[in-house]
Amino acid sequence: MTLVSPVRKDFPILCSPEGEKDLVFLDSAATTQKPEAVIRRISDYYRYENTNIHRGSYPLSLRTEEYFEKARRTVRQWLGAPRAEEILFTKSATESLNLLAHSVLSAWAGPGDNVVVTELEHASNYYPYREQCRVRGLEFRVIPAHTDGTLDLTAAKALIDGRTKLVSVTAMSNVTGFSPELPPLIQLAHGKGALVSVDASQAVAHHRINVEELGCDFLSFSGHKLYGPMGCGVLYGKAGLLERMPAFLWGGDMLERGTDGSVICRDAPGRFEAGTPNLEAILGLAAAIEYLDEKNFPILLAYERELSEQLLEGLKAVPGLCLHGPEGLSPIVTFSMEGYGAYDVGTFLGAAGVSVRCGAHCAYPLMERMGLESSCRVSLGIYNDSHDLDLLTERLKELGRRGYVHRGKAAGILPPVSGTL
Amino acid sequence: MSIEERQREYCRLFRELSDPDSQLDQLFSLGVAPPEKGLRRPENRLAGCRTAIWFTSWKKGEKVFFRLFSESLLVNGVCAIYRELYQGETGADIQKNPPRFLEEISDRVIYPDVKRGGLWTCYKQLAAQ
Repeated sequence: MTLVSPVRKDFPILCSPEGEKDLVFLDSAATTQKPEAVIRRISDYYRYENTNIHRGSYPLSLRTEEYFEKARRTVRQWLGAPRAEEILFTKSATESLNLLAHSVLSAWAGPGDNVVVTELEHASNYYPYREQCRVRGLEFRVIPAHTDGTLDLTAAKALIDGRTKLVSVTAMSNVTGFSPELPPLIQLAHGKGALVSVDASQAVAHHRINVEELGCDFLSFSGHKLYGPMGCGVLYGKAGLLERMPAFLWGGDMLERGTDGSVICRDAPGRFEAGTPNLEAILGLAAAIEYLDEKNFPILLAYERELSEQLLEGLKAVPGLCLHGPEGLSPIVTFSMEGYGAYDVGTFLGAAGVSVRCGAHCAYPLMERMGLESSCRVSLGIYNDSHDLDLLTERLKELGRRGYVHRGKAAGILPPVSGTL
Repeated sequence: MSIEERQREYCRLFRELSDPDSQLDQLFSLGVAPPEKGLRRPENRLAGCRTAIWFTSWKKGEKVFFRLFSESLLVNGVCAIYRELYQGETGADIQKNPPRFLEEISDRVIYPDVKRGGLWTCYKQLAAQ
Protein backbone atom coordinates (compact mmCIF):
# COMPACT_ATOMS: atom_id res chain seq x y z
CA MET A 1 0.00 0.00 0.00
CA THR A 2 1.36 3.42 -0.90
CA LEU A 3 1.14 5.79 2.03
CA VAL A 4 0.95 9.48 1.25
CA SER A 5 1.41 12.05 4.00
CA PRO A 6 -1.66 14.22 4.53
CA VAL A 7 0.55 17.15 5.54
CA ARG A 8 3.76 16.97 3.49
CA LYS A 9 2.70 19.90 1.33
CA ASP A 10 2.65 22.11 4.45
CA PHE A 11 6.43 21.76 4.88
CA PRO A 12 8.26 24.11 2.51
CA ILE A 13 11.67 22.44 2.80
CA LEU A 14 10.16 19.24 1.42
CA CYS A 15 8.16 20.79 -1.37
CA SER A 16 9.28 24.15 -2.56
CA PRO A 17 11.74 24.66 -5.43
CA GLU A 18 13.93 26.67 -3.04
CA GLY A 19 14.02 23.79 -0.57
CA GLU A 20 16.50 20.94 -0.61
CA LYS A 21 15.96 19.04 -3.85
CA ASP A 22 14.75 15.46 -3.45
CA LEU A 23 15.23 15.55 0.31
CA VAL A 24 14.26 12.34 2.05
CA PHE A 25 14.33 13.50 5.66
CA LEU A 26 14.43 10.58 8.07
CA ASP A 27 16.09 12.30 11.01
CA SER A 28 13.11 13.84 12.81
CA ALA A 29 14.42 12.58 16.15
CA ALA A 30 17.26 15.08 15.73
CA THR A 31 14.90 17.86 14.75
CA THR A 32 11.59 18.00 12.96
CA GLN A 33 10.92 20.05 9.86
CA LYS A 34 8.64 23.05 10.29
CA PRO A 35 5.28 23.70 8.68
CA GLU A 36 4.59 26.99 6.94
CA ALA A 37 2.29 27.98 9.82
CA VAL A 38 5.24 27.94 12.25
CA ILE A 39 7.60 29.72 9.87
CA ARG A 40 4.99 32.39 9.20
CA ARG A 41 4.33 32.88 12.92
CA ILE A 42 8.01 33.54 13.57
CA SER A 43 8.41 35.95 10.69
CA ASP A 44 5.13 37.71 11.60
CA TYR A 45 6.45 38.22 15.12
CA TYR A 46 9.49 40.03 13.78
CA ARG A 47 7.54 41.86 11.10
CA TYR A 48 4.70 43.15 13.23
CA GLU A 49 5.10 42.42 16.94
CA ASN A 50 8.71 42.47 18.02
CA THR A 51 9.22 43.88 21.46
CA ASN A 52 10.35 42.63 24.80
CA ILE A 53 7.89 41.59 27.48
CA HIS A 54 7.48 42.49 31.18
CA ARG A 55 9.30 45.74 30.54
CA GLY A 56 7.43 48.12 28.31
CA SER A 57 4.29 50.04 29.24
CA TYR A 58 3.05 50.51 25.72
CA PRO A 59 0.44 48.61 23.73
CA LEU A 60 2.89 46.67 21.53
CA SER A 61 4.65 45.21 24.55
CA LEU A 62 1.42 44.40 26.35
CA ARG A 63 0.05 42.65 23.29
CA THR A 64 3.19 40.54 22.91
CA GLU A 65 2.92 39.67 26.58
CA GLU A 66 -0.58 38.40 25.97
CA TYR A 67 0.64 36.23 23.11
CA PHE A 68 3.40 34.91 25.35
CA GLU A 69 0.98 33.92 28.10
CA LYS A 70 -1.42 32.50 25.53
CA ALA A 71 1.45 30.29 24.31
CA ARG A 72 1.90 29.10 27.89
CA ARG A 73 -1.79 28.21 28.06
CA THR A 74 -1.53 26.41 24.73
CA VAL A 75 1.28 24.22 26.04
CA ARG A 76 -0.64 23.67 29.30
CA GLN A 77 -3.60 22.41 27.36
CA TRP A 78 -1.39 20.20 25.16
CA LEU A 79 0.11 18.49 28.19
CA GLY A 80 -3.11 18.38 30.19
CA ALA A 81 -1.47 20.27 33.04
CA PRO A 82 -3.89 21.74 35.61
CA ARG A 83 -2.41 25.25 35.68
CA ALA A 84 -0.52 27.49 33.30
CA GLU A 85 1.90 28.43 36.10
CA GLU A 86 3.15 24.85 35.95
CA ILE A 87 4.56 25.42 32.47
CA LEU A 88 8.04 26.95 32.28
CA PHE A 89 9.77 28.01 29.09
CA THR A 90 13.48 27.34 28.75
CA LYS A 91 15.86 27.25 25.78
CA SER A 92 15.67 23.49 25.34
CA ALA A 93 14.99 20.18 27.06
CA THR A 94 18.67 20.14 27.98
CA GLU A 95 18.26 23.40 29.87
CA SER A 96 15.04 22.12 31.48
CA LEU A 97 16.83 19.02 32.70
CA ASN A 98 19.81 20.98 34.00
CA LEU A 99 17.38 23.28 35.81
CA LEU A 100 15.71 20.29 37.40
CA ALA A 101 18.96 18.67 38.39
CA HIS A 102 20.10 21.87 40.08
CA SER A 103 16.89 23.09 41.64
CA VAL A 104 15.30 19.80 42.74
CA LEU A 105 18.46 18.59 44.39
CA SER A 106 19.06 22.00 45.99
CA ALA A 107 15.59 21.88 47.50
CA TRP A 108 15.43 18.29 48.67
CA ALA A 109 18.66 16.35 48.54
CA GLY A 110 21.37 16.06 51.17
CA PRO A 111 24.24 13.76 52.13
CA GLY A 112 23.31 10.09 51.91
CA ASP A 113 20.60 10.67 49.31
CA ASN A 114 20.61 9.34 45.77
CA VAL A 115 19.30 10.10 42.30
CA VAL A 116 18.23 7.35 39.91
CA VAL A 117 18.33 7.50 36.13
CA THR A 118 18.43 4.72 33.53
CA GLU A 119 20.82 3.45 30.89
CA LEU A 120 18.26 4.40 28.26
CA GLU A 121 18.86 8.10 28.74
CA HIS A 122 20.06 10.69 26.29
CA ALA A 123 23.13 12.51 27.60
CA SER A 124 20.98 15.49 28.59
CA ASN A 125 18.98 13.35 31.01
CA TYR A 126 22.02 11.57 32.43
CA TYR A 127 25.03 13.83 32.84
CA PRO A 128 23.33 16.82 34.53
CA TYR A 129 22.35 14.47 37.36
CA ARG A 130 25.70 12.73 37.43
CA GLU A 131 27.44 16.04 37.72
CA GLN A 132 25.08 17.42 40.37
CA CYS A 133 25.52 14.22 42.39
CA ARG A 134 29.29 14.56 42.14
CA VAL A 135 29.23 18.18 43.26
CA ARG A 136 26.76 17.58 46.10
CA GLY A 137 28.16 14.27 47.31
CA LEU A 138 25.02 12.31 46.41
CA GLU A 139 24.91 8.79 45.06
CA PHE A 140 24.22 8.48 41.35
CA ARG A 141 22.39 5.25 40.52
CA VAL A 142 21.58 3.86 37.09
CA ILE A 143 18.86 1.33 36.29
CA PRO A 144 20.44 -1.00 33.75
CA ALA A 145 18.99 -1.76 30.36
CA HIS A 146 18.90 -5.20 28.79
CA THR A 147 21.09 -5.80 25.75
CA ASP A 148 18.05 -5.40 23.53
CA GLY A 149 17.52 -1.87 24.78
CA THR A 150 14.60 -2.52 27.11
CA LEU A 151 14.63 -1.54 30.78
CA ASP A 152 15.32 -3.89 33.67
CA LEU A 153 12.43 -2.97 35.95
CA THR A 154 13.43 -5.65 38.46
CA ALA A 155 16.68 -3.79 39.03
CA ALA A 156 14.70 -0.58 39.53
CA LYS A 157 13.09 -2.03 42.67
CA ALA A 158 16.52 -2.53 44.22
CA LEU A 159 17.86 0.89 43.24
CA ILE A 160 14.94 3.13 44.24
CA ASP A 161 14.77 3.32 48.01
CA GLY A 162 13.88 5.63 50.88
CA ARG A 163 16.89 7.90 50.17
CA THR A 164 16.03 8.37 46.51
CA LYS A 165 15.07 11.98 45.91
CA LEU A 166 14.50 11.93 42.20
CA VAL A 167 14.01 9.33 39.48
CA SER A 168 14.52 10.69 35.98
CA VAL A 169 13.51 8.53 33.04
CA THR A 170 12.87 8.87 29.35
CA ALA A 171 9.41 8.28 27.94
CA MET A 172 10.95 7.10 24.65
CA SER A 173 14.51 6.14 23.77
CA ASN A 174 16.05 8.34 21.10
CA VAL A 175 18.01 5.30 19.89
CA THR A 176 15.45 2.50 19.63
CA GLY A 177 12.12 4.24 20.17
CA PHE A 178 11.49 1.93 23.12
CA SER A 179 9.05 3.36 25.67
CA PRO A 180 9.50 2.01 29.21
CA GLU A 181 6.37 1.35 31.22
CA LEU A 182 6.20 4.55 33.20
CA PRO A 183 3.16 4.04 35.48
CA PRO A 184 4.70 1.19 37.55
CA LEU A 185 8.02 3.05 37.73
CA ILE A 186 6.30 6.25 38.86
CA GLN A 187 4.27 4.31 41.40
CA LEU A 188 7.39 2.62 42.72
CA ALA A 189 9.23 5.92 43.03
CA HIS A 190 6.35 7.72 44.72
CA GLY A 191 5.92 4.80 47.09
CA LYS A 192 9.47 5.43 48.29
CA GLY A 193 8.93 9.18 48.53
CA ALA A 194 10.90 10.04 45.39
CA LEU A 195 9.93 12.60 42.79
CA VAL A 196 9.76 11.57 39.13
CA SER A 197 10.90 13.51 36.11
CA VAL A 198 10.03 12.31 32.60
CA ASP A 199 12.08 13.27 29.56
CA ALA A 200 9.47 13.42 26.82
CA SER A 201 11.73 14.89 24.14
CA GLN A 202 11.05 12.06 21.69
CA ALA A 203 7.69 10.87 23.02
CA VAL A 204 5.96 14.23 22.67
CA ALA A 205 5.83 13.94 18.86
CA HIS A 206 4.65 10.32 18.82
CA HIS A 207 2.18 10.09 21.70
CA ARG A 208 -0.43 12.38 23.20
CA ILE A 209 0.82 12.94 26.73
CA ASN A 210 -1.30 13.92 29.72
CA VAL A 211 0.83 14.76 32.74
CA GLU A 212 -2.04 14.38 35.22
CA GLU A 213 -2.88 10.90 33.97
CA LEU A 214 0.78 9.99 33.86
CA GLY A 215 1.27 11.20 37.41
CA CYS A 216 4.83 12.44 36.95
CA ASP A 217 6.08 15.40 38.97
CA PHE A 218 8.07 16.95 36.14
CA LEU A 219 8.17 16.56 32.39
CA SER A 220 10.33 18.20 29.78
CA PHE A 221 10.65 18.39 26.03
CA SER A 222 12.16 20.53 23.28
CA GLY A 223 9.89 22.49 20.99
CA HIS A 224 11.94 21.69 17.91
CA LYS A 225 11.10 18.00 18.24
CA LEU A 226 7.38 18.81 18.06
CA TYR A 227 7.50 20.61 14.70
CA GLY A 228 8.25 23.88 16.49
CA PRO A 229 11.37 26.02 16.21
CA MET A 230 14.70 25.52 17.91
CA GLY A 231 15.44 27.55 20.99
CA CYS A 232 12.40 26.73 23.09
CA GLY A 233 12.15 24.06 25.74
CA VAL A 234 9.30 23.27 28.09
CA LEU A 235 9.40 22.13 31.68
CA TYR A 236 6.21 21.09 33.41
CA GLY A 237 6.35 20.92 37.21
CA LYS A 238 3.66 20.50 39.84
CA ALA A 239 2.91 23.90 41.32
CA GLY A 240 3.53 22.83 44.90
CA LEU A 241 7.00 21.62 43.94
CA LEU A 242 8.05 24.58 41.81
CA GLU A 243 7.18 26.94 44.69
CA ARG A 244 9.82 25.27 46.85
CA MET A 245 12.56 25.13 44.25
CA PRO A 246 15.29 27.75 44.03
CA ALA A 247 16.05 29.64 40.85
CA PHE A 248 18.52 28.18 38.37
CA LEU A 249 19.42 31.24 36.33
CA TRP A 250 19.60 34.66 37.95
CA GLY A 251 19.14 38.04 36.37
CA GLY A 252 16.50 40.24 34.90
CA ASP A 253 12.82 39.42 34.95
CA MET A 254 12.93 36.76 37.68
CA LEU A 255 13.18 39.27 40.54
CA GLU A 256 10.74 41.73 42.06
CA ARG A 257 10.53 44.04 45.05
CA GLY A 258 9.21 42.43 48.21
CA THR A 259 6.88 44.09 50.70
CA ASP A 260 9.85 45.30 52.72
CA GLY A 261 11.45 46.78 49.63
CA SER A 262 14.08 44.07 49.29
CA VAL A 263 14.67 42.24 46.01
CA ILE A 264 13.20 38.76 45.99
CA CYS A 265 12.57 36.00 43.47
CA ARG A 266 9.29 35.95 41.68
CA ASP A 267 6.97 32.98 42.01
CA ALA A 268 6.93 30.26 39.37
CA PRO A 269 7.00 30.33 36.43
CA GLY A 270 8.73 33.72 36.42
CA ARG A 271 11.39 32.62 38.90
CA PHE A 272 12.70 30.16 36.35
CA GLU A 273 12.53 32.42 33.30
CA ALA A 274 15.41 34.83 33.77
CA GLY A 275 16.41 37.14 30.97
CA THR A 276 14.71 37.81 27.69
CA PRO A 277 12.82 34.71 26.56
CA ASN A 278 13.19 33.37 23.05
CA LEU A 279 9.83 34.84 22.17
CA GLU A 280 9.71 33.93 18.53
CA ALA A 281 10.49 30.30 19.38
CA ILE A 282 7.83 30.19 22.10
CA LEU A 283 5.23 31.67 19.79
CA GLY A 284 6.43 29.27 17.08
CA LEU A 285 5.95 26.32 19.42
CA ALA A 286 2.40 27.44 20.18
CA ALA A 287 1.79 27.71 16.43
CA ALA A 288 3.12 24.17 15.97
CA ILE A 289 0.73 22.83 18.61
CA GLU A 290 -2.19 24.72 17.05
CA TYR A 291 -1.20 23.30 13.67
CA LEU A 292 -1.11 19.74 15.00
CA ASP A 293 -4.49 20.22 16.69
CA GLU A 294 -5.96 21.61 13.49
CA LYS A 295 -4.63 18.65 11.47
CA ASN A 296 -5.99 16.22 14.07
CA PHE A 297 -2.97 14.86 15.89
CA PRO A 298 -4.49 11.40 16.59
CA ILE A 299 -5.00 10.87 12.85
CA LEU A 300 -1.43 11.91 12.17
CA LEU A 301 -0.23 9.45 14.81
CA ALA A 302 -2.30 6.68 13.22
CA TYR A 303 -0.71 7.51 9.86
CA GLU A 304 2.73 7.42 11.48
CA ARG A 305 2.01 3.97 12.92
CA GLU A 306 1.18 2.64 9.47
CA LEU A 307 4.37 4.17 8.15
CA SER A 308 6.34 2.57 11.01
CA GLU A 309 4.99 -0.81 9.94
CA GLN A 310 6.10 -0.21 6.37
CA LEU A 311 9.50 0.99 7.56
CA LEU A 312 10.07 -2.18 9.56
CA GLU A 313 8.98 -4.42 6.69
CA GLY A 314 11.22 -2.55 4.28
CA LEU A 315 14.29 -2.71 6.51
CA LYS A 316 13.81 -6.41 7.24
CA ALA A 317 13.94 -7.05 3.49
CA VAL A 318 17.41 -5.49 3.08
CA PRO A 319 20.09 -8.21 2.89
CA GLY A 320 22.89 -7.68 5.39
CA LEU A 321 20.86 -5.26 7.55
CA CYS A 322 20.75 -5.94 11.26
CA LEU A 323 18.03 -4.29 13.37
CA HIS A 324 18.88 -3.37 16.96
CA GLY A 325 16.53 -2.83 19.84
CA PRO A 326 13.38 -4.55 20.98
CA GLU A 327 10.80 -6.13 18.68
CA GLY A 328 7.78 -4.10 17.77
CA LEU A 329 6.75 -1.08 15.77
CA SER A 330 8.41 2.23 16.36
CA PRO A 331 8.87 5.48 14.43
CA ILE A 332 12.51 5.34 15.57
CA VAL A 333 14.58 2.39 14.39
CA THR A 334 18.27 1.73 14.77
CA PHE A 335 20.27 -0.66 12.60
CA SER A 336 23.64 -1.49 11.12
CA MET A 337 24.77 -2.94 7.76
CA GLU A 338 27.10 -5.91 7.61
CA GLY A 339 30.56 -4.95 6.50
CA TYR A 340 30.02 -1.20 6.92
CA GLY A 341 30.42 1.30 9.70
CA ALA A 342 27.45 3.47 10.58
CA TYR A 343 29.26 6.47 9.15
CA ASP A 344 29.57 4.71 5.80
CA VAL A 345 25.86 3.99 5.66
CA GLY A 346 24.91 7.54 6.59
CA THR A 347 27.29 9.05 4.06
CA PHE A 348 26.17 6.70 1.28
CA LEU A 349 22.53 7.47 2.01
CA GLY A 350 23.25 11.19 2.30
CA ALA A 351 24.89 11.25 -1.13
CA ALA A 352 21.49 10.23 -2.51
CA GLY A 353 19.56 12.79 -0.46
CA VAL A 354 18.46 10.36 2.25
CA SER A 355 19.06 11.90 5.69
CA VAL A 356 19.54 9.61 8.67
CA ARG A 357 21.65 9.89 11.79
CA CYS A 358 24.70 7.75 12.42
CA GLY A 359 26.83 7.57 15.50
CA ALA A 360 26.26 7.07 19.19
CA HIS A 361 23.17 9.31 19.34
CA CYS A 362 24.36 11.02 22.54
CA ALA A 363 23.29 7.84 24.33
CA TYR A 364 26.63 6.36 25.37
CA PRO A 365 25.48 4.09 28.26
CA LEU A 366 22.76 2.51 26.12
CA MET A 367 25.03 2.01 23.11
CA GLU A 368 27.58 0.35 25.36
CA ARG A 369 24.93 -1.90 26.91
CA MET A 370 23.74 -2.91 23.44
CA GLY A 371 27.33 -3.63 22.40
CA LEU A 372 27.32 -1.02 19.66
CA GLU A 373 30.14 1.37 18.81
CA SER A 374 27.72 3.28 16.61
CA SER A 375 24.56 2.64 14.62
CA CYS A 376 22.30 4.19 12.00
CA ARG A 377 19.00 5.61 13.07
CA VAL A 378 15.91 6.26 10.99
CA SER A 379 13.26 8.42 12.63
CA LEU A 380 9.93 9.26 11.07
CA GLY A 381 7.89 12.42 10.99
CA ILE A 382 4.34 13.11 9.90
CA TYR A 383 5.60 14.31 6.50
CA ASN A 384 7.28 11.07 5.50
CA ASP A 385 5.65 8.68 3.06
CA SER A 386 6.09 5.39 1.23
CA HIS A 387 8.24 7.07 -1.42
CA ASP A 388 10.74 8.10 1.26
CA LEU A 389 10.89 4.58 2.65
CA ASP A 390 11.28 3.05 -0.82
CA LEU A 391 14.23 5.32 -1.57
CA LEU A 392 15.79 4.44 1.78
CA THR A 393 15.52 0.69 1.29
CA GLU A 394 16.63 0.81 -2.35
CA ARG A 395 19.72 2.78 -1.45
CA LEU A 396 20.50 0.38 1.40
CA LYS A 397 20.14 -2.59 -0.94
CA GLU A 398 22.48 -0.85 -3.38
CA LEU A 399 25.02 -0.40 -0.60
CA GLY A 400 24.72 -4.05 0.26
CA ARG A 401 25.31 -4.99 -3.38
CA ARG A 402 28.47 -2.85 -3.52
CA GLY A 403 29.68 -4.36 -0.26
CA TYR A 404 29.55 -7.79 -1.83
CA VAL A 405 31.57 -6.59 -4.73
CA HIS A 406 34.21 -5.01 -2.52
CA ARG A 407 34.45 -7.82 -0.02
CA GLY A 408 34.61 -10.28 -2.88
CA LYS A 409 37.41 -8.39 -4.56
CA ALA A 410 39.36 -8.18 -1.34
CA ALA A 411 39.10 -11.93 -0.95
CA GLY A 412 40.10 -12.46 -4.57
CA ILE A 413 36.62 -13.67 -5.51
CA LEU A 414 34.91 -12.03 -8.43
CA PRO A 415 31.10 -11.77 -8.42
CA PRO A 416 29.34 -13.96 -11.00
CA VAL A 417 28.64 -12.23 -14.28
CA SER A 418 24.92 -11.98 -14.87
CA GLY A 419 23.59 -14.64 -17.29
CA THR A 420 26.48 -17.05 -16.85
CA LEU A 421 27.20 -19.88 -14.42
CA MET B 1 58.50 7.64 -5.33
CA SER B 2 58.55 10.35 -2.65
CA ILE B 3 55.62 11.10 -0.38
CA GLU B 4 54.96 14.18 -2.48
CA GLU B 5 54.80 12.20 -5.71
CA ARG B 6 52.58 9.50 -4.23
CA GLN B 7 50.27 12.12 -2.78
CA ARG B 8 50.10 13.93 -6.11
CA GLU B 9 48.74 10.72 -7.65
CA TYR B 10 46.01 10.53 -5.05
CA CYS B 11 45.11 14.17 -5.49
CA ARG B 12 44.79 13.59 -9.22
CA LEU B 13 42.72 10.45 -8.65
CA PHE B 14 40.16 12.15 -6.42
CA ARG B 15 40.03 15.22 -8.60
CA GLU B 16 39.16 12.98 -11.56
CA LEU B 17 36.50 11.21 -9.51
CA SER B 18 34.57 14.43 -9.23
CA ASP B 19 31.20 13.08 -8.04
CA PRO B 20 30.75 11.92 -4.46
CA ASP B 21 29.42 8.50 -5.47
CA SER B 22 32.61 7.65 -7.37
CA GLN B 23 34.76 8.86 -4.51
CA LEU B 24 32.69 6.72 -2.12
CA ASP B 25 33.33 3.70 -4.33
CA GLN B 26 37.05 4.38 -4.47
CA LEU B 27 37.37 4.71 -0.70
CA PHE B 28 35.21 1.63 -0.10
CA SER B 29 37.56 -0.34 -2.34
CA LEU B 30 40.62 0.91 -0.50
CA GLY B 31 39.03 0.47 2.91
CA VAL B 32 38.24 -3.22 2.84
CA ALA B 33 40.74 -4.73 5.20
CA PRO B 34 40.55 -7.10 8.15
CA PRO B 35 40.60 -5.33 11.52
CA GLU B 36 44.04 -4.87 13.02
CA LYS B 37 44.45 -7.41 15.81
CA GLY B 38 44.86 -5.94 19.25
CA LEU B 39 44.51 -2.35 18.10
CA ARG B 40 40.94 -1.83 19.22
CA ARG B 41 41.66 -0.92 22.82
CA PRO B 42 40.36 2.14 24.69
CA GLU B 43 43.83 3.67 25.05
CA ASN B 44 44.26 3.62 21.26
CA ARG B 45 40.91 5.20 20.45
CA LEU B 46 40.99 8.77 19.20
CA ALA B 47 38.40 11.19 20.57
CA GLY B 48 35.39 11.77 18.38
CA CYS B 49 31.80 10.72 17.91
CA ARG B 50 31.09 10.46 14.24
CA THR B 51 33.36 7.51 13.56
CA ALA B 52 35.79 5.51 15.66
CA ILE B 53 39.51 5.51 14.83
CA TRP B 54 42.14 3.48 16.67
CA PHE B 55 45.74 4.51 16.25
CA THR B 56 49.15 3.75 17.61
CA SER B 57 52.59 4.77 16.35
CA TRP B 58 56.25 4.17 17.14
CA LYS B 59 59.69 4.90 15.78
CA LYS B 60 62.48 2.64 14.58
CA GLY B 61 65.51 4.84 14.28
CA GLU B 62 64.30 7.85 12.31
CA LYS B 63 61.45 6.03 10.63
CA VAL B 64 57.85 6.25 11.79
CA PHE B 65 55.54 3.27 11.83
CA PHE B 66 51.91 3.10 12.78
CA ARG B 67 48.78 1.03 12.96
CA LEU B 68 45.53 2.67 12.08
CA PHE B 69 42.01 1.33 11.80
CA SER B 70 38.48 2.65 11.68
CA GLU B 71 35.11 0.94 11.97
CA SER B 72 34.17 2.98 8.89
CA LEU B 73 35.20 1.54 5.52
CA LEU B 74 35.41 5.03 4.07
CA VAL B 75 37.75 6.28 6.78
CA ASN B 76 39.67 3.00 6.48
CA GLY B 77 40.13 3.92 2.85
CA VAL B 78 41.81 7.12 3.96
CA CYS B 79 43.84 5.09 6.47
CA ALA B 80 45.06 2.90 3.59
CA ILE B 81 46.27 6.03 1.80
CA TYR B 82 47.97 7.23 4.97
CA ARG B 83 49.82 3.89 5.14
CA GLU B 84 50.92 4.23 1.55
CA LEU B 85 52.11 7.79 2.06
CA TYR B 86 53.62 7.76 5.52
CA GLN B 87 54.46 4.23 6.67
CA GLY B 88 58.20 3.96 7.27
CA GLU B 89 58.95 7.60 6.43
CA THR B 90 60.76 10.07 8.70
CA GLY B 91 58.88 12.53 10.90
CA ALA B 92 60.53 15.39 9.03
CA ASP B 93 59.30 14.14 5.64
CA ILE B 94 55.83 13.50 7.03
CA GLN B 95 55.77 17.03 8.41
CA LYS B 96 56.57 18.47 4.97
CA ASN B 97 53.68 16.54 3.42
CA PRO B 98 50.36 17.10 5.19
CA PRO B 99 47.46 15.05 3.76
CA ARG B 100 46.44 17.52 1.07
CA PHE B 101 44.62 14.76 -0.82
CA LEU B 102 41.84 15.14 1.77
CA GLU B 103 40.97 18.49 0.17
CA GLU B 104 40.20 16.66 -3.08
CA ILE B 105 37.75 14.35 -1.34
CA SER B 106 34.27 15.82 -1.18
CA ASP B 107 33.10 17.00 2.27
CA ARG B 108 30.03 14.91 1.58
CA VAL B 109 32.19 11.78 1.55
CA ILE B 110 34.60 12.49 4.39
CA TYR B 111 32.94 15.11 6.58
CA PRO B 112 34.94 18.17 7.64
CA ASP B 113 34.89 17.22 11.30
CA VAL B 114 36.34 13.79 10.47
CA LYS B 115 39.03 15.42 8.30
CA ARG B 116 39.83 18.02 10.97
CA GLY B 117 39.33 15.60 13.87
CA GLY B 118 40.66 12.06 14.01
CA LEU B 119 42.42 12.06 10.64
CA TRP B 120 44.25 15.30 11.33
CA THR B 121 45.14 14.11 14.85
CA CYS B 122 46.74 10.97 13.37
CA TYR B 123 48.74 13.02 10.94
CA LYS B 124 49.92 15.49 13.61
CA GLN B 125 51.09 12.64 15.82
CA LEU B 126 52.98 11.05 12.96
CA ALA B 127 54.57 14.36 12.00
CA ALA B 128 55.57 14.97 15.59
CA GLN B 129 57.50 11.71 15.91
